[in-house]
Amino acid sequence: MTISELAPQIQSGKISPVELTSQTFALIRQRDPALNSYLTLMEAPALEQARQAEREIRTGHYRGPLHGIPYAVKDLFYTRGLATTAGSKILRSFVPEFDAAAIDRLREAGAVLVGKTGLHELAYGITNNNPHFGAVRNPWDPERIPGGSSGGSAAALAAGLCVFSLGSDTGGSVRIPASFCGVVGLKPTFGRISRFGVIPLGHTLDHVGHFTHSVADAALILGALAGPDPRDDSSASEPAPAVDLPADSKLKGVRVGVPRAFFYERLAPEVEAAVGAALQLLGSLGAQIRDVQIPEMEDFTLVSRVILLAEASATHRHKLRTRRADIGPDVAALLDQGLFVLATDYLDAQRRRRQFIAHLARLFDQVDVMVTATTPITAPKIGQTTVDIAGHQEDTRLASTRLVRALNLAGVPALSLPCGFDSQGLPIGLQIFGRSFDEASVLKVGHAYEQNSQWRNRRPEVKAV
Amino acid sequence: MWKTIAQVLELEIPEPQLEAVSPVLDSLWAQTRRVLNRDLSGVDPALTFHPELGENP
Repeated sequence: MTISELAPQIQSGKISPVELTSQTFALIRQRDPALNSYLTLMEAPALEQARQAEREIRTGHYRGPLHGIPYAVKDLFYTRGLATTAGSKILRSFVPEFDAAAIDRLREAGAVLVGKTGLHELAYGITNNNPHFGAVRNPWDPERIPGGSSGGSAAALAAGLCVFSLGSDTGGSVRIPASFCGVVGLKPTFGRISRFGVIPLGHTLDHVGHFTHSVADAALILGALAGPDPRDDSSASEPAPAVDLPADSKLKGVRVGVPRAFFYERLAPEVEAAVGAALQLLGSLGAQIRDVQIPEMEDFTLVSRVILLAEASATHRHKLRTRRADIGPDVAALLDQGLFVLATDYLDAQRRRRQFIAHLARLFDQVDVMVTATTPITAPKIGQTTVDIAGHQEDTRLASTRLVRALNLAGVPALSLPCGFDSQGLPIGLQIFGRSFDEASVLKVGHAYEQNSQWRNRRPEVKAV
Repeated sequence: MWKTIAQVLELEIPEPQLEAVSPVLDSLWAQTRRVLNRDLSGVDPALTFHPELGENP
């Protein structure tokens, strides 16, 4: 069930937060051995939080739609008194003394934290095939990756093992797993949600984001998490947006840009067909569909790669130097590559980034949002290093990040939501992105699409082990 | 070339790992030169944050 469906029933007393939380743990015990989506379960504190929520609601102290709702958090977010590993062997015993800002805000909203989810080591990769904690598996096909790096959060949600979850997105780490697991994933504008207490990867690219079963739920979580935080110097002063999603889901007058060059090239045929059908549906709802050109996208994708290589290696070079044997080979290889990026190249990449931001800002004078596929492929198999896209071989990581990575350069809000399934029953993701701090337009278009399409109620059948 | 750089900079990358990443570094270097070898002196790097103006990053 979605938050929007559960909240009125929790408020009225029809659903008990304690029972809901207990059921969540029963499902985790039943289904998660096949998925490995959770690293740490917090059953005792979660049940205590749920009991407190129940007492408050019964005595007329209802805090709002997240009160009593079970959620999960990527094990990259600090949790006071509880190990925060970042999926790294090196941090296996790291126990923070405070909670991440996002967890503080959700506690104030009355949400119930049930556990911490698995991720790609150090949040640096898209497979979640973690050498220290095991592979997280995709609920739609356990032989396939969930995407990453926030794959545990997406898999847990898709399998019904929480009602929403938190992740982070440095080069697609919320949107890729949302696409591969068939859930909604939102990367809000850079600065919208505090990163205080989140282990960094690339400090000018990292965003906090979230996974939900519906676009309306994504708007609710955004409202709870957004807002200034003096403890994070990238935090924007903008207040939390009040996103009011209209009931009629019409898009008359909304200008939808279609960046055909780059974003519509080298797509798996079934992905291309699903995104084409989605554009037709948006047009039938009244949106004006326009082709647009984002110039030099290949360049800006490379620019984002250079920046991330340098920033990630700067963040983790001490670990690489002192604990190389405890870092998985794929992550160590990326950290090694970053050591060779020249400081002058890093700064020039940041200059080219400014050009990309200017390009996008000009285009957003012409359109309200842009729509693309989230990933050019559906979920690859675990261990698959290359993918075949219409006869063209491509590195799995570079293919998965190709359509999402550069948007972290501009910091614009970007949403992924399901827009179909391929012939193997794997979900396909639709990406909608807009101008900075205009999550409202992105969510409005996503909500309209979701309300008029047939994908939102499909759930995977996860077999108990 | 990468082996020499790694030695001079004392990067302490074991030889097998260095050999594995060398082709990637060759490709990255070539692409980086194509994308960055131009006069960018008139553009400010996107390193300054003015969130109070709603600007990012």
